[in-house]
Amino acid sequence: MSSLKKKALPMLAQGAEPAGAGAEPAPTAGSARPRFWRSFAELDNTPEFRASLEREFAAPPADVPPNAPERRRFMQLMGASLGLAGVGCRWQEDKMLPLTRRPEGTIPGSTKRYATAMELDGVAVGLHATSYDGRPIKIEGNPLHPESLGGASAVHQASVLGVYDPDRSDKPWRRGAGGAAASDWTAATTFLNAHFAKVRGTRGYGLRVLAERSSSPTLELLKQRFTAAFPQARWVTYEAASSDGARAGSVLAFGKPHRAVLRPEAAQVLVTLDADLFAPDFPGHLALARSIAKGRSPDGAMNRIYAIETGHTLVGTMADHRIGVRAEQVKTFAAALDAKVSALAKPLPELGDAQPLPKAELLSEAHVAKLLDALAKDLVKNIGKSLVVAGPSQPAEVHALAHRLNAVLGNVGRTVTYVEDPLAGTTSDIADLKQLADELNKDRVDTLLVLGGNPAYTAPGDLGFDAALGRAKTSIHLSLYDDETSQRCTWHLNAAHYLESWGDARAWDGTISLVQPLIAPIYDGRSSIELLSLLLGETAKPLDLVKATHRATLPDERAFRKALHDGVVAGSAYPVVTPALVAQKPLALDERAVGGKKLQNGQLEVTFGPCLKVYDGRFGNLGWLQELPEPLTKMTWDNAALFAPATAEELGVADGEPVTVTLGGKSVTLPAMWVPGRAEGSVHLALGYGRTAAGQVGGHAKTEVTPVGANAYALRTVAGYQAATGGSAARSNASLPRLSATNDIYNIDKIGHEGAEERAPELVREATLAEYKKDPHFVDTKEEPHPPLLSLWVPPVSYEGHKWGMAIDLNKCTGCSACITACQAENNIPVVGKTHVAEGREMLWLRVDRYYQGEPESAQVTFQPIPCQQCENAPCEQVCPVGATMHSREGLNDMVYNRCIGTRYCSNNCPYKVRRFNFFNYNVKEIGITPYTPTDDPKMKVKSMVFNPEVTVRSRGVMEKCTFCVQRIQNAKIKSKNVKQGIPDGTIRTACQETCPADAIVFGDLNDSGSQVAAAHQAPRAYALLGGLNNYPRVRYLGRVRNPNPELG
Amino acid sequence: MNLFVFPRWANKTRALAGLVLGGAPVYLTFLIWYGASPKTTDVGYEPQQPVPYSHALHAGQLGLDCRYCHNTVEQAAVAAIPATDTCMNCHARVHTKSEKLAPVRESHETNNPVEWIKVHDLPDYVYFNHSAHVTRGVGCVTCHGRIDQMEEVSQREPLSMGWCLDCHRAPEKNLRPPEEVTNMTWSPPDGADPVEYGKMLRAKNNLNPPTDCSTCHR
Repeated sequence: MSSLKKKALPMLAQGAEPAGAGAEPAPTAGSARPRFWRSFAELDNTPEFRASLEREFAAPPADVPPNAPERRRFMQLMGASLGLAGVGCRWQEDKMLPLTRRPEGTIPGSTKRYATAMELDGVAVGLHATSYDGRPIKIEGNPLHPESLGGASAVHQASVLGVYDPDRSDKPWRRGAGGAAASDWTAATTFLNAHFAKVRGTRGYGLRVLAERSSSPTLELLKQRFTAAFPQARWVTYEAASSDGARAGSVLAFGKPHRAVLRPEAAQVLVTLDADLFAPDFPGHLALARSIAKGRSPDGAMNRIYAIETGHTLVGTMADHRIGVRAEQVKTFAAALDAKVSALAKPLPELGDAQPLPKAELLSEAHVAKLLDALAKDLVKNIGKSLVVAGPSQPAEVHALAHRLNAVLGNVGRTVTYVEDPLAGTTSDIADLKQLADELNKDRVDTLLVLGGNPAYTAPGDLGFDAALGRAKTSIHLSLYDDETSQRCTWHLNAAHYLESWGDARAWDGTISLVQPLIAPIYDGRSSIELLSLLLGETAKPLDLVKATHRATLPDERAFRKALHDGVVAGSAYPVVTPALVAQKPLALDERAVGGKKLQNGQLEVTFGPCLKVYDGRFGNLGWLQELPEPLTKMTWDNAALFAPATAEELGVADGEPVTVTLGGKSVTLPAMWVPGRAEGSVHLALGYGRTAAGQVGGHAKTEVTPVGANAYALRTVAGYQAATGGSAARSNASLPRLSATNDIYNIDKIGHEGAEERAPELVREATLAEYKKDPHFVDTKEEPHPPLLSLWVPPVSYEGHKWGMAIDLNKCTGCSACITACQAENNIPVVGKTHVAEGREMLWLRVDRYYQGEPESAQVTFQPIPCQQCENAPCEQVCPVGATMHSREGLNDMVYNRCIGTRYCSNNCPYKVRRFNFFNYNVKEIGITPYTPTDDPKMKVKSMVFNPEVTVRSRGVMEKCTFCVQRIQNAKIKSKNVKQGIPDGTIRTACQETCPADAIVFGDLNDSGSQVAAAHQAPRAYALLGGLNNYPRVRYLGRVRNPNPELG
Repeated sequence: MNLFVFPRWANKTRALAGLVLGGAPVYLTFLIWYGASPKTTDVGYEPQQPVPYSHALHAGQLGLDCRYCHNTVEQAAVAAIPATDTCMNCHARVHTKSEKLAPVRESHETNNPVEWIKVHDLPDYVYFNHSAHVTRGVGCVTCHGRIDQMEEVSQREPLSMGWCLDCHRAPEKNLRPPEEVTNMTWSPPDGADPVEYGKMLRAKNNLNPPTDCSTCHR
């Protein structure tokens, strides 16, 4: 009790202070630097941050008049509802439209799942799409698919929103000197037939095809027929996020292009060289997350991860040891690692000579040198049980060294296998695109056919590709949106979404998936397959084309249907080969690679990379992704220039303030963000923002919708494609909207914050493996002292039937945030837009808190997903004046939307801050997804088709929160009782659990002693968040265990 | 002078005002309680359907089982309005020229659905599942009334939350053997007391209807 008393005193004193005292220097407890922190404002304990703790919701940004348009909107809505009140007592008449011919087995109003696949950059991920009355409403991973293993990413989750995006192009457009004219497919087909008949006459002279990467075998066959019909034509593939380095690196290493298929299950030591294994641009990212997370169980042989990277990647946050080095210096480290490892491992002579140990300033730094030695020893100790991976943005030499290291360490065939690269003919996407641009500029291209992609936007700025496009006499762009490229082409053809078309695609290891449509094309769009077969004058339907491609492996209807059902064609992976390693030449390391970490302004390194959310920009119009807080920066609706704090300070660039980044004479102004753990002297710009023809969400110049973020492609150059040098950055006076980052919005209570030094380690409980082995119950020692948990009354509910509970393993969570978007899709959560996010009005039920720990230069990261904790003794239930949040007999905190009158007492009383309030009717705002827009525009009506009919769409003035996906629970219960059977463990999976690539979330019945969740709750690492508040939360976190190398202390 | 003296009858206004002021809240409470209750507003709702389909004829006189048309009622949340083809199973041969069936024939030819009007229309924030009730022995007649006697279907029960909860709290009086759910005239065998019989069924089938909010609101 004495410790409690001591702590209680300053709390009272603080409360008694007069208003405005918050601006005074913080009281004793707050002035110490916290061990865990979520932003620089918090670390430095700025007055603004302290003020924000006083408020339940963030203050509106100063540059936006308080709710100006919304106030008008409110009056309109009020007027409308008053008008309705006088009409009558009965609500709108509802119609029922039965099918005229109901196919066998179709049950109206129930869901079915179909296997399909989504391709990104030529790699397919097998998915299950949930169909409700013939419309896809939800995506899950396909457990049978090697790329997914059951997980799906935020990008996949949001793809379903793309089907119903009202900004999607609904017809072909013809553009010429006279401007743009709407056309239709009949006219377009007539034109295409006539035009390509002419082109066929010249055997395709002056014809160029620019396609996005696809692994579709059917498309490949069509391409062969196309090339045969138009032998003079040339086919170019371009992806803004493609890894030329990986392909070229395998040529350096093996003399022939190969693909590395990673098998990290057996890896004890994992080294990443600027590689984010969990990012959507890394092939196999979902399966990698699953197997690496599995290998991090402290009860088994726990793996150890070393990350050498420029900025924090998702895998870097999981790493046990991590250093931030500039992208251009990664090769120095790789060479040094090869030198050290080869010296210890004494590889066979046929592997060639090792790299000489480079003389570099980087390696002379004490902590780097120490890490290098320890890492080399650790690797050699784990021969055949380690894995070295180079990142897609790294140059060929680094990839070649990674291949060599794996060969030297005996990992080939164990933790990494090789297949021959099917793209053997391709050298470099960017070189091919440059050649095409040159041809365009020399007027050598008569007809340019652009199959997907958006090259006018995604080509490097110095290529001037958008202008070059206009020089083709005829240019045809097949695309989902009438986008930047379409607007510079003479024809735009509307494409079909992958959920609308037949096709096929291959996983990274070659496994074939059939892509089946969930819905007929809403706007009569065509897929690349359909368009190519049309141009070839073929009449076969796409399904028949796909069937014909796989006739050899799937000879009959039965085999085809099985492949369709499973989502994979069994045994279709590429054969594994063991290529012989070619001896590597010593690397030519330039001055910058071996130089120090201090760089002059003007000499900065600028790195580019696809965004974890909108990728290369193609998902820019999907509100779910724009609103998703970026895992590390927690930024929504924006991109920023990411700086190491030390560099930013030197440059005089403030956190969150506008900065102008200049490279090669071109500059872009965007907000700066200080990011802990980033290499000094390196600036990162995320690609995919600043779009001018994305749509009403991502930006649309024609209708004066401001672009989201700034376009980093403008700075990208052909030479410095992944990382460029010679960048400079300067503070800018431009007025930009404030960054809408969510890191400081939901701070867990002020009092807790004042004791941050004690409280944060209580929220996120961590130990090293050695500490865990010594005391498996380490989480209990971090519990804040609290009085015995007594209640005034006997708990009124005995939980005799089911007792639902959840466990989240912090050791497995990668922070990827797929769970957030999955939750949004499942539970009809609205998108509120940038301004409202800045005001703390985001509606996402599930958030992933990101804590930094330690000093900014070497900060460690911990992620903690926070859903509603479904307390047994819930503070929210006790304060609701109208009984709108009630306790169910299974222990859920039920939320009854139609009873809620919006007092927000519950939110005020929730210690976890997981309740969200509908300040506005977000579902009728333009930015959201409209269910009831009073408009006859059919495209606006299409928007509401994405809603899950099992979940109520909430209106203004209503509180909402995570329900543990109660609709899934209830459906499983009804189903099991209909057939008089129990519910086996694992039947009910919440949306967040089902999508989690790392399998970090477990859900089930705590009364079932054999259930996974009951076991997790019993585990020594399990702890309740703020358990001392006597809430008895139903969510348990499994404490995080790190596995540092004992040699490195 | 007398001009400024209240007339004698004015003395009565006080009582009158008292009556009005005292009575108004009572009256208003009654008005809202009675006038806005689903019993008043919803019971008896009988919209005109596009096809004058007679349940009295089909389910009553001809004795078609409910599940011939509403065939998903035991498996799904919705009982499924029959597809046009279900009508045409018979009406391709019976009454092929009937004026009343014109919309059905048109739907069959054009593949456009017949636009039926929903009679038992719950608010959007309420979830109801037919299979959960039918497979546990709640008869169709309990909620829908004597459909077999209705020419045009109308709502017979208020379908209000209180009405639902009455049964969820004490389901005995509405229980029957699950195989008898579509029987419109079922009564307990051998003249048994319906409540006692229901209690027996409830124990036998282990029925514990939940009254949690999330049972219907989710």
